[in-house]
Amino acid sequence: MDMHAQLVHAVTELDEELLWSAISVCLQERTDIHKVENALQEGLRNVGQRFAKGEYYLADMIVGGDLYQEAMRMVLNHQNMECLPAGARGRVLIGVMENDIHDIGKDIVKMLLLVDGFEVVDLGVDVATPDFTKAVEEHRPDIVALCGVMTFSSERMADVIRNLNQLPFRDSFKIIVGGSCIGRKEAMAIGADGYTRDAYDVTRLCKSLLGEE
Amino acid sequence: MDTCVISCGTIRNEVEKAYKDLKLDYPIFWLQSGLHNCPEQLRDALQEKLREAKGFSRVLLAMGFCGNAIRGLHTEDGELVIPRVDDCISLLLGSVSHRMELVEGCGTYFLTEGWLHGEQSIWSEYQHTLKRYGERRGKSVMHRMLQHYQRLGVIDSGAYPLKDILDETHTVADALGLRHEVLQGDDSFIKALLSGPWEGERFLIAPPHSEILPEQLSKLY
Repeated sequence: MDMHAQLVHAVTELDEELLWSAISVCLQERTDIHKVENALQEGLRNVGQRFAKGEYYLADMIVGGDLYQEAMRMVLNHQNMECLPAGARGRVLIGVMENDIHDIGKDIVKMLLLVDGFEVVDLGVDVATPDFTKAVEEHRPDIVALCGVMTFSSERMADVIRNLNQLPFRDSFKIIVGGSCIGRKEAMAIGADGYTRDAYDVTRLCKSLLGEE
Repeated sequence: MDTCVISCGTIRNEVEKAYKDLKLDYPIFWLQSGLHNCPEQLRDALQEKLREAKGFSRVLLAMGFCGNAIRGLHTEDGELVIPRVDDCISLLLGSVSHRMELVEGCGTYFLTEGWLHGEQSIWSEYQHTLKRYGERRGKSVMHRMLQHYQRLGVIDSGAYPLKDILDETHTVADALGLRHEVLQGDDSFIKALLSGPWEGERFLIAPPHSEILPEQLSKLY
């Protein structure tokens, strides 16, 4: 099994022993950080798919996210490897919609963004609709990320976007939405600038909206 | 009019009790429980059941919008009647507004016998997590998962002997660090779904050969 396959397999199977041994080889061989990151994300995506199929529990998703974070920290902290200073890529303000307290997906997104050099302002769960506007005025993010799982969260997202569209500096930030409550078509219909169903795709989406890729 | 029901297996106790009370004999197509984790899979499974129910002129859906899993469904020969609730919990509590009142300021993890013994229940998840990751780490993961919940709300739906599960639900609540509370269920909505009339305030009625669009899902009862 090559290094990419080992990393993917280790995260997919939540096999810590194999993961730390593969990461240690990566550090010794100074493997390109993007190659490591891509493999770990592929593994995380597999964990998400196993959850969707009922083969993994939510707890396994959390552990998968922990393994990813820890592995990326080890790679980033390794002296001989380059890493972006925190916040270098931009500021993302993230929160879960009012009356919705599901934060596993939001936390995975936050972790992926932090690891990839974004600054994250986390408003938490059950964020009242007007509080998004207040927070955007206060923090002036580059991206606002709205998350939700509950059925009614898609409607709250539409309310938040309507409010944010009234801000005089609306052109200075992008709005992305995600979570199982909403599909791409609906996201575009409520005025989001971007959508992702897959948490693991969020860093690519943010970089692309900020003109990086 | 030829009527049938498609029901989520998780609320089988409650649907069967309402059937008995109302002396109904429509055919029921049962959906596998535990599909709500992935709305796409739930939608596919529902579409398959709708195909199986082809030929019925009215299909009653005993579940909620379930994370908007019903968005994009295509009806077959019959009209599809769907209760305007976010999920089965609100259906068993009588309305979304009542559920919202109950959770106001008190994050509640709801259980019935169906959820407790269904696939991937919170209790089987707890046991899996401690077994796989050890007690210390497993408990820490479960704590993070449930950090916004304060209460385990056991719904007394009247459709199963509550006393038979109370020892188990107390054990679950203690293990998860949640306050145990029995909450009274309300079978009026589920009975209205099964017997009609299906007025627009409480029910979404999708005509035959139509697609359920996002804008139809905005109003909950």
